[in-house]
Amino acid sequence: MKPVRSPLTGLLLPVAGFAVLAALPLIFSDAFFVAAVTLAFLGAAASLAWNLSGGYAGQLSLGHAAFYGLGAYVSTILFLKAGISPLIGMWLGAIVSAALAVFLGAITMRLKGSFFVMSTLAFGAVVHISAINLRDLTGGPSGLAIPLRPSPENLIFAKKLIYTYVALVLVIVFYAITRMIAASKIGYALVAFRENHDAARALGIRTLPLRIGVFALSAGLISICGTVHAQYYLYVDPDSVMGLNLSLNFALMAIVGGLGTAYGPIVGALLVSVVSVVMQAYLGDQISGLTQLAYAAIVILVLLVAPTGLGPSAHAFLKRRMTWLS
Amino acid sequence: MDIYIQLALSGLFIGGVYALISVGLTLVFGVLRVVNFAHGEYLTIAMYLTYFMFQRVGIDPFVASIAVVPLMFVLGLATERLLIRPTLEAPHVVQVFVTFALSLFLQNLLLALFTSDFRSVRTPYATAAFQIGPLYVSWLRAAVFVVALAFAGGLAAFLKYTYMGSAIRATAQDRRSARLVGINVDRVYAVTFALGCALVGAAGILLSPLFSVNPYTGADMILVSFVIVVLGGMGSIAGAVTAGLLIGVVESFTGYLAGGELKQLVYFVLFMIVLAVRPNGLFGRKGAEVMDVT
Amino acid sequence: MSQSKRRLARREVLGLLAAVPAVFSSRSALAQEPIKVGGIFPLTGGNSVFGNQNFQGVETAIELVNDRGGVKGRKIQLFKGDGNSPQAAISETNRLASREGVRIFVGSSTSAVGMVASQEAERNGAFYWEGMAVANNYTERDFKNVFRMGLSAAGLGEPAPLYAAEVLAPMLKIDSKNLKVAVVAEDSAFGVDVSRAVIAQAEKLGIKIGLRELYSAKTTDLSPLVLKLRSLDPDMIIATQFINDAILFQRQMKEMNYSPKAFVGTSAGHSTLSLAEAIGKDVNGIFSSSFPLDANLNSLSAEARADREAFLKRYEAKYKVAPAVQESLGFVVGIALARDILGNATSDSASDLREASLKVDVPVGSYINGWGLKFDDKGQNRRAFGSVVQWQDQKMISVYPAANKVHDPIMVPLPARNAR
Repeated sequence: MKPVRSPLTGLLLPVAGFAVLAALPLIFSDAFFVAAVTLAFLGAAASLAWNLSGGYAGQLSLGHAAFYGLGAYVSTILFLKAGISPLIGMWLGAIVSAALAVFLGAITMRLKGSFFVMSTLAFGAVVHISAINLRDLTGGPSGLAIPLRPSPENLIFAKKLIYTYVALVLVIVFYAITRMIAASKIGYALVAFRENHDAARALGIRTLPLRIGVFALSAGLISICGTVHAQYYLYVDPDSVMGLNLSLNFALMAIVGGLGTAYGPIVGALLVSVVSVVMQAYLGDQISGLTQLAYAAIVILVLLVAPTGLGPSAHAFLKRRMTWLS
Repeated sequence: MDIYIQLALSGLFIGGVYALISVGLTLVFGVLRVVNFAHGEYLTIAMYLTYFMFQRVGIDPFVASIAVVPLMFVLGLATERLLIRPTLEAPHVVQVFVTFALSLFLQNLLLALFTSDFRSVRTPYATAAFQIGPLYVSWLRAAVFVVALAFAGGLAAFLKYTYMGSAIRATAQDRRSARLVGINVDRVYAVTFALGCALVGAAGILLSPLFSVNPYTGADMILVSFVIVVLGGMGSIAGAVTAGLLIGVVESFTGYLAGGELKQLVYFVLFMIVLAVRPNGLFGRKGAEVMDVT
Repeated sequence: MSQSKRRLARREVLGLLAAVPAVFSSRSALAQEPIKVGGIFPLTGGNSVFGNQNFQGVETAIELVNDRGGVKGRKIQLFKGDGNSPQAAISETNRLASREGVRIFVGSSTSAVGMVASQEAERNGAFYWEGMAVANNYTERDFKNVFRMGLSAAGLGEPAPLYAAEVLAPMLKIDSKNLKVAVVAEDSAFGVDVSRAVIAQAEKLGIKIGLRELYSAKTTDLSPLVLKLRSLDPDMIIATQFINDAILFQRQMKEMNYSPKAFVGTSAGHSTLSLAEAIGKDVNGIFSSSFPLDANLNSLSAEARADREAFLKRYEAKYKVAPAVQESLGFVVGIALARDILGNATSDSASDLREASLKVDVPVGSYINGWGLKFDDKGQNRRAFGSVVQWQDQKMISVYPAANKVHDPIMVPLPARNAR
């Protein structure tokens, strides 16, 4: 479990990787492609935030869409009703989300595996249903439309490419946070807990406050993604920012790429997006359902072939090859 | 007063349906430790099978069960072999997401095959009712309730009195020891998963005269089953039945007293309270759910 | 064709380098290049029932226009975009715009999809022709190239109380001021917006609303609601429901031997054939305030009558069932876009289409459902109106307003359960 510390994987590889990501929307400037890349970046950022708690601490949450949605709603409501810039609103949203996460964590963090999963799922549902029913505040199921008034302080841009880079900045920052936590004592404690909680306890590692803290951080970060989502779509409604499918997708991206690794969510998000884009582009005009059918089949295949995620599986495969050669 | 009895009765009837859907889910969880997100799609498939047998061949749903239940059993066997068994050694999350992807796959397969139109089995007895004093009792709902409880009882008896049943229980308690005493754990898993599918298949058959089906029907119905399974104690058949009936009654009363839009909210909140206070659920084995942590 | 070929041949003499751009420029002058239209509808997912029905209607209209020779000799090519969620609607709009070169969109069955897809089109400088999304704030967004041919939620819901006051109350021999109405709706945007419009209109007419109850369309049990209604005993229920909850509600009312004196739905679940398929003759007598299904033939122009015949024939030949409300709406939306907007625009650029839309003035009775076309300055069609249909002999029959009425209403008040 010891992270590789060579300068290549430590710094050079990520910098090169992000440079490639930054160049992507410039090389393929087709609007469809740029939109897909933006979504991939936003998904990667959200999945990175999810992975802090879901991957490193092994707390598989299926309720993170609630925090994502809170970020979208808090900033949007403040913007529409009080004229507060989303640049401020997103921090307030993050604070609300983190506070709620502390509360939820205090209740559920002592639950084991599937019990924790189910309780986060129920939590997500409670927040989702509340958003539907608090009609005066959230606009109910019809949602809230944000007027298209481009200006940097409104976080609204006429050029969509800017959103792409806003999302990429989130990806880079979240990646750096992940690396910092992973390399710190907190990271080691979390991984020790994840791998074997009894042993961790025997060693005297007190993980509960750490896990709650990381859960709150994870909730706060994903909430910022929610604000960016709202400003990108200029439309917030409960199903599209709080639905269960969203929670599942955050987790899915991290799992496909490599759970509990810093690069996993990015690899996963790109792969998931590439697959859906290709499917959409080539099957979009055919029978209804075919696109998602193919998408689901590919996800199943990936999970069967590389259950630890594509990144780690590829790594292990290469390693086997090397030893065999030498 | 009458109205409350009527509400309780309605709640119990729908609760029986919930119970039958949840029994299969809890069984699979208890033994394989897999939360099956595709459980709802098996319900949908069974409803489609019943619909087509009714529509094309004119077979009554209750008669169709003779063919549909075994078919669902076989489908369960195949799923276990192809998707579940290869991932049993993988991290827990992989199983969750394989079943999630399977649910997406099946939904869209059904959509591509049958479109999203709602299909209804229309039997003459679907809305027939009898009256006891001021109470209205639907024949069909009463029958569904009885059959659901019978299935749950049958399952409990099977687990208790047959060799396979004992093997399943032993595996649920400790898969390593079960293997040591010579139980074919792979076979137990296959049979358990298939039983789960057959049970939800039976639920689908019973539901088809009551509800219309489209590719998303099962997904809509399954969320409440997750709540029921945890409430009852994951893996507990009696717990699933009790929690199913309880949720049915709670829904019925909140629907009447507070309004339909709050029904779900109430049971999810109830659910979180139970998890906080008594995380092993109503009938769960103690110690399975809480970590000994500081 | 032959002329352009000759021109092409002559230019070929000038050499390859010159000819390559020439091929492109002459092709655009060819007038044979199809006009590309992208349909953004939810074709998968929970709302796909209506999405597919709407799309089929639009597709039938486009095929008809093409078989009649197209628009000024140019065929229309219709692309399918699956807007199964707001996110998907955005990416599909972009895909069709950048990969297929679509600059004209039509949609979108649900308001959530319509709101974001039209915004994406506006951002891209494309033209958006809305037919089905009913959100009241849809046309309040100051968009330039977005026009809604169909109804707002208000337009969809209002005929129900109007019809109740004008026609049903006298038939029930109750003064409309004393009419007791319960409003029931599923709790998505559709149910919330439409039921709000129903209540606003009812209050304007002095009708008392005894109960407004919302519930989730995914519900599995509506008996608590039925019990509540029975103890309240309203004269009439006005219900905004999707398909499976509408079916469930009817079945559970029957189980509990309950019936109001009149039942009026508002489109969706009550204007779809699935309802009749599910509950058989129990469907008879139910009203539905909705997008018009068809119109009284006498009120239609000759052209609309011909369209109607062609539509019914083509639709039935292809899908083996008679078209219902959503299909017919799709057809009207498609034919209006093709014939009256594309047909009158100087080019198919967004600005020329906007020009044509602002100028368009098609009298009522020109489309198969009786509508006309004239936009206000917000881009809302002023000549779209809702209507009321009633299920008679398990078929939907238009009963209101006068221009659409093809038959008198029956079964008012609703007879006892065992006498239907």
